[in-house]
Amino acid sequence: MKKRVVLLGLIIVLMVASMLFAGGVSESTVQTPGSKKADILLWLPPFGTGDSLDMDFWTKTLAPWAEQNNVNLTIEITPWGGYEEKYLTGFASGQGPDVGYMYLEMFNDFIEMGTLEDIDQFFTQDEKNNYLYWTQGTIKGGQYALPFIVGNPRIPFFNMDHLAKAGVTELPTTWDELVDCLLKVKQANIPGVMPFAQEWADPAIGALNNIFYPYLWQAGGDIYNEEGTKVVLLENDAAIRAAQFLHDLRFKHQVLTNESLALSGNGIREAFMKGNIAVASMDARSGVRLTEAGINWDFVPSFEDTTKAIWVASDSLVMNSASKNKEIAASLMKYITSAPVMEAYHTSIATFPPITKDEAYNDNPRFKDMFDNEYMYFRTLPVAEGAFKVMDVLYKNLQLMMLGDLSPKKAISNTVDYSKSVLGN
Amino acid sequence: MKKSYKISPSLQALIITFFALLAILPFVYMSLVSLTQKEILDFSFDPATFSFINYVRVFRNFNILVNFKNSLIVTSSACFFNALISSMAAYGFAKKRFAYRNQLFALYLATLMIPAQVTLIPVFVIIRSLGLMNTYPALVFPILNAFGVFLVRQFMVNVPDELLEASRIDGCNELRVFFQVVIPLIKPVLISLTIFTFITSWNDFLWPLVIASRPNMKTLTLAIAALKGNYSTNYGLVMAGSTITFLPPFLLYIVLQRQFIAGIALSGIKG
Amino acid sequence: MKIHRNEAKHAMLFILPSLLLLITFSVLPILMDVYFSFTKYNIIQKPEWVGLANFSRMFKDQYVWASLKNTTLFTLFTVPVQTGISLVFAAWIASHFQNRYGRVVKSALFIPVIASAVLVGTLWSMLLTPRGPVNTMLGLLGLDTVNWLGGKISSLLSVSMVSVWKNIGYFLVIFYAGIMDIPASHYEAAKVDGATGLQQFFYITLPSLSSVTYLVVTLGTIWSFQVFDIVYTMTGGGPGLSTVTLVLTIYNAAFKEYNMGYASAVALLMFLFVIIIQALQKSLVRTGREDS
Repeated sequence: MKKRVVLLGLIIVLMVASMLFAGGVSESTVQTPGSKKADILLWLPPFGTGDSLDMDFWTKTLAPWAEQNNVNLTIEITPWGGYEEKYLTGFASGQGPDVGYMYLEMFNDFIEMGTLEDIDQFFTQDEKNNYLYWTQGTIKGGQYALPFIVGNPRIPFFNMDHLAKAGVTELPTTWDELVDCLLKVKQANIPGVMPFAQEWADPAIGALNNIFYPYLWQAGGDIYNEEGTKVVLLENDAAIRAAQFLHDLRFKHQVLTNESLALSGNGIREAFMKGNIAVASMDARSGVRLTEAGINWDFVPSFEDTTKAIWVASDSLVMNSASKNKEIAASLMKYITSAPVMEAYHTSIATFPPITKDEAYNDNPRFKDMFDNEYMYFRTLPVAEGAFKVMDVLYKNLQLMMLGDLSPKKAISNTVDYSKSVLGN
Repeated sequence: MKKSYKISPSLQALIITFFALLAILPFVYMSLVSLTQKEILDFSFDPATFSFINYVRVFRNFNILVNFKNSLIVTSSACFFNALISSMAAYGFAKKRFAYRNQLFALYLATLMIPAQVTLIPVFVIIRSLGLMNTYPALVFPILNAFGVFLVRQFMVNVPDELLEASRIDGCNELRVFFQVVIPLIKPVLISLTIFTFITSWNDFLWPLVIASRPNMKTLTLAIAALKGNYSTNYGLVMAGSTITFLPPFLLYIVLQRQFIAGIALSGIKG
Repeated sequence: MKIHRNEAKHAMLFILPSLLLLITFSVLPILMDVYFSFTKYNIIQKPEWVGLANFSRMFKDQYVWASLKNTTLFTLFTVPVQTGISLVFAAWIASHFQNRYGRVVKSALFIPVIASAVLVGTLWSMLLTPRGPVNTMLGLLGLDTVNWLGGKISSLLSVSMVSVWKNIGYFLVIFYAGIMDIPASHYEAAKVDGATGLQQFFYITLPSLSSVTYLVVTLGTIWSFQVFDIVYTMTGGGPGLSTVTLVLTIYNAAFKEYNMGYASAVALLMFLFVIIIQALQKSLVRTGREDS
């Protein structure tokens, strides 16, 4: 009896001891005595897919910088799941990174909360000039972002074999030409092939980047006004026209089939890779996958209605306003975005177009022309208060429209009503 | 002749087998994909291309052993403390009488209705003000909840009071009565509770995500989540990670299956 | 039984650790949520008092009403179905398959319980794609394919069925254990009286399982109100508002709008709702017991 009690007691002590002493390091790694190394924490999301993974890449690539600047660099690859939560609680607990990575939807709130540093003062005019997209990072009156991944535009892809079978010889460039092209494909009745596909069953509102916003912008409309203070979906008829266009593709021309409405973004890409879709909008990086799958594809940068418009991602590096080593953090940001590092990143981890003037082009060669000559049509999402909710409501209403429950006008006005009554603008 | 509504045992077996297959097939699929380099999720497999390279990649490229250690420490601590603390409380509720006992227990039950997302931020604020970010206690203690007390109490009602009386008469103090008489008698339900706690804390994602902000405190589930890219997906790699995360609780269940069922069986919940 | 001196004191000593944890991690957070619900709070800056603004937004918000409706529908489907299936299977296995086959099958059905809800949602999203195995199977049977994740009713049905699929094994084990507990003598007496299998089920098994059933239904109801990961990974709440649930609404408010105040208000509404449902259930059971 006694032995068991002693044993139990021992186990309890061991467990408690191991818990209290083995872990719970709230500071980073042990420092060698006497060194005055600065501690820098870097958070980056994953982009690599197998052979080369991000942690490996960044550890190796940034080691020389850390050495040179006498820095204890801790790198963490933060998962895409729970992304906002991690940053929110990271900043709230004082354990946020010195340098992090944010996408557009996050900026309004994190800037309002005062968590991001205006980095303008850390860059010389020459350095600023070298960045192709410096001004993209000027948000709400401050340089809160250093554009890091600008690109991966959402573009319409065409399966040229299917188009040839349908007798389409020239790629459509306007909405009307697109309708003609799709009708021809539908008539050709190629077995197992959908003329057009859009990911209306995708769980995330990012689907709208492919399936709605380009059309909204091409029609001359936008979600918010320039200042980001008011929802302007009903200020002109652009939103309704764009919605009506998609509605017609489904119900009037019937080139958007039931099946295509049941797909997620990944599903669309995969169906295209299998040759089951003639035309679909996808992110530019899918091009490589299509080539690997042996698809004979082509693209146009943008359709034209009243204007052209291309949705482009704009994710940036950010600096923590509570960082204790801002100069060094700025140096890290400059090093990460320097041409040699970016060239290595764009060749081994993830292909994106260059972000500085001195960086060589390492993205898909087929898109070089677009980046050189069509960049003026690049558009990014708005930075505005409550934007997530508005876009969510918009997406959900458009989904109902595509299911035949709402008219395009109703879908748009529902969104505006919700925004006014529930969100107050 | 009496109309027979009976479903013959063979038909029963057919239906049950169908559901059992339905239960395991998605996981079989997961394991198969983990052996490939698929970038499309379809159902064509070429066994000639199967390899374990994804598993090698996961282990090579991640601080996997540290993550594994963290998960193990957090999960086993959670199991241990949950078993201890819940059985102590269950003992108090089942074997002692005191004022407002039923109302207090009702409070316990009420807390079971609160979903984790609702308390995430307040608990985060509490942990932050206690200065316990990135510590094992912060990862372990919020997991313990009233479910354990509820489960063990059901079981403990069946521990004969005479036994407890007898040992008190023999001169044992309360602690000895608890540890030497009660605990051995409730072992089955403690095993059941351990399995439940293991599964919950092992799979926990959101809470470790916000509390373990330093890489050396990350759990395995968190580390694996970082395998999923945003634009292109190597499904094989992702599924390899998922399989690795899935195995420990699965193996635990296989090993402890009988005791697990016994633990719920003898808890007299038919009461 | 002798009442011991200090019985209450001893009781408190044993209960104290868990009570402390409960107060710290359940009661206090709920009280904080009550406070937050009257504020605008993003956890980085100080909370800003807004009075009843969150509540008035909540009553106007179609997301909240849709959440209540969907969560209720989800519960009304999931709980009876998973309770029924697990009960029937437990009875079958207990009467005919107390052997290796029974054990294997119980283990197999328990596997979904072990997997995380996120993994389950991810796997089923893959299986329910338009040309995925489920639709292919339907095609082979000559049926129409279904838009599982993109249709208004089918999406809610999909997440419900996946949830049932995940929970059957858990409740099966509980029911099975409960059935094992029923003395064989009861059944023997019934057989002597000439009762059929079905009659034995209704007159012996079911009544003996009344409190087990109550446990299964209660747990099942609580869990179905808390459904999140499955919906988040499979449909994100769509299409339209078809699969928006209470916890999803709370989550979006907290972590996409950074509005803890509103999230807390909806959380309180949810808490209230669950308590009402539980009270209803309890009174139903009580009247049921009084009748029989």
